[in-house]
Formats: sequence, C-alpha cells, structure tokens
Amino acid sequence: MNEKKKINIDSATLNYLYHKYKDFLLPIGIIIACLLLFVLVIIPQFQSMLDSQQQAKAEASKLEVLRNNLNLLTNLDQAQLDSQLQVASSALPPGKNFFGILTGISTAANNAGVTLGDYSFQVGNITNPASGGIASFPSLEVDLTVNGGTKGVTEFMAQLYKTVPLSEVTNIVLSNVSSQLTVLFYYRPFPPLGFNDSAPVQVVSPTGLSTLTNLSSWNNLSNQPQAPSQPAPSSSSSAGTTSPF
Amino acid sequence: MVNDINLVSNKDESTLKQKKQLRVVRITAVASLVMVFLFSVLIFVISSMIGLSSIKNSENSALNSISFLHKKEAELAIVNNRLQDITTILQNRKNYTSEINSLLQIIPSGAYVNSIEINKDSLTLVIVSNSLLPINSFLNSLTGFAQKNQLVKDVIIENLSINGKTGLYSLSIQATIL
Repeated sequence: MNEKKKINIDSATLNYLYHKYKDFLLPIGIIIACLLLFVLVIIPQFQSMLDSQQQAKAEASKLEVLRNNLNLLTNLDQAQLDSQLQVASSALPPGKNFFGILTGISTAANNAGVTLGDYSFQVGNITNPASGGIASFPSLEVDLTVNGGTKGVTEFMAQLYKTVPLSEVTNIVLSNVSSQLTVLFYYRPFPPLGFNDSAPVQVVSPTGLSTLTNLSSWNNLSNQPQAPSQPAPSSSSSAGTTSPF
Repeated sequence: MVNDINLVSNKDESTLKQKKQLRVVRITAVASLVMVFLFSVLIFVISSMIGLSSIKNSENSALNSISFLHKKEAELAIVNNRLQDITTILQNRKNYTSEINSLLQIIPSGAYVNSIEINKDSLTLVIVSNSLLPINSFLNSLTGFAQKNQLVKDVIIENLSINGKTGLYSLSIQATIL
C-alpha cells in the first residue's frame, strides 16, 4: 500500500537545508546578479554604442560635406562670381527692366540696319503665369514696328535673339515696307534664399560656364548700363523686392 | 542485530557529489563575473574611441567659417538658378528666322512676297506675281517641303485672285510650321 509521503516544512527543515546548502548561496547569487547586469545594463549599453557608431558615421559624412563646401567657397573667385551674376541677371533680369529692353531693341535694330517705328508695352498677368515651359516665365510683351523689308526684319530678329534680356518673337507680320513684331521679354524674380549647410554647394557646371561664355559674346552685354538691381527676397518676404545680400 | 557490516560509508559519496557541484557553481560564478567585467571594459573602450564630441566640435568650427561665406553661397545659388532658367528659355523659345529665310529662298524670280504672318506656328503667306508660272513654281516648292515633312505641313490655298487693274495674281496660302 502506497502511502503519500508528507514533507514537513518548518523552521527545523529550513535550518537543515540552509546548513546543507549554504556554500552554494554566494556563487548562485553572483551568477544571478551577473545575469541581471548582462541583461539590464550590458546589452542596452551595447545597443547604445552601436547607435553612437551610426551617429558618428553620419556626422562624419556631414563634416566631410561641410569641409568640401568650405573649401569650394573659400577658393571661389569673388570677382568672377560677380561677373557671372551680372551676365546671368542681364540675360534674365529679376524685374521689369524697361531700360534694358529699350536698349536691347535699339542695339538689335542698329546691328540689323533697320529703323523702328512706334512700339508699345503690354504688361500681362504676372501673378498667374501659364503652367509649364517658358510660358510659366513672367514676361513683358512689346509690339514693335520695324521698317526695313523682309530681309532686314529677319536680320533684326536674329540680332534680337543675341541681345539681352532674353526675348522671344511670338507674332510676325512681315511685309516689304514695314513689319509688326510681338516680342516677349522674359524676367524672373530671384528665388527665396535659404542656407542648407549640410547640402553640398554646387559650383557652376561646365554647361553653365559655356552658356555664360555664349551670353557674354552677345550684343550690348558689356556696355549695357545696369538698371537698379532687384534684390532677391528673404525666405519670409514677398518676391522681387529685397536684397539677397 | 545487523548481520552485514558496510565498511564503506554512503555519506562520503553524497558529500563528494555535493563538493563537485559546489565547485562547478563557483567556477560558473567567477566566469560570469569575468565576462561581465570584460564586456563592460570592451564597451567602454569602443565608446571612447568613437569620438562623437570631437566630430561635433569640428562641425561647429566648419559651420562658423562657412557663415562668413554666405554672401558667396547666395550669389552662386542665384547664378545656378538663373542659368537653369536661361537654358530652359534658350532651348524652348521659337525662332522663325530660318523658316522665313527658307520661304524667301523658294520665291522664284518674277514673284514677290506681299506679306508673311506667323502666329503660334501657323503661317499665312501672300505671294504676288504678274504670271501664274512663278506662283506655280512656288507652290511646287512648298508642297515639296510638305511632302518631305520639312518646314511646313497642311498647306491650304486660301485665295487665288487677280487684280483687274494691275493684272497681278495674288496667292494666299496657310500652312502649319513644323
């Protein structure tokens, strides 16, 4: 007959167990403490170290970009940059450059050997330009009368296309006596400027330099008196009214 | 009365076993301590080698230097922006000079252009002559261009008339410039 063994847990039993296994208590306690330290401290510290490593890599890349930017900007020739800005702003002014337009028209007419009749400016809607392509650029429309025959007028158009500010002839009525042209003179306000120091500075590309060289060879660029420059707006103000510098 | 006498005490076997277990547990405890210590030192050394603060200091120094060059940076940004827009305009603006010159070249002798009107790629031309032969020659040349898909397409004769007083023939055509 099986009898259930009864185990008495009383202070005498506990005392007995303690005396029997007391040598095990300290090492087991140490093992448990080490396990807890490992799980609660070492593993989080390891994760934190990995995060710091990632962060250091990112900051090192950022530092590399900053150093490259600093190097580029330090070595940039200020005089050359000013000249490039002048050429680019003459070709596409930041505002309505009436004086530049009239000078350009006169120069083109002189070079083509034609005379000009009456002309008028039409100020279009600059707040809602058409979307896409150069139709989205604000422009001043000028209606011209050119006296000089068909060949003279075609030469005038060719000269106008090599004169700043940039223009486009959109309507032509040619005759042997006098011709009517509708010309759009483009302009565009400076963009709002914001400095993102972590973005690489882009120097003028070879294509851009080629464009600038081409523009510099155009009529009236070197001797065109500059209209008061329209400074670029700050990021918080409206377009075309404040200095970028 | 006990008949068998066991000279080997069982108590020694269990004590031996317990001692072995205790030894194993002690070794494990020491090993755990050593591992925790080693890992801590390793993490400390690697963390100190990362040097995040020195990188941050270098960044601040570079940023400080760049702040004195913001004018140059702004000018450069504007030049690049202008060049982008200028390139767009130069590539997309219409230039009818070559088309007009091509048309003028096919005007035969004995005829002259009274007017040419170009508006949004639509061309209207009036040619005048005292004979139909030059007008015919001009039409042939123009349709030849259209057939070769050059210069113009969709050539439409709007009007062919004669001025009774002067005897001059006048041809008005409309076409689409390619």
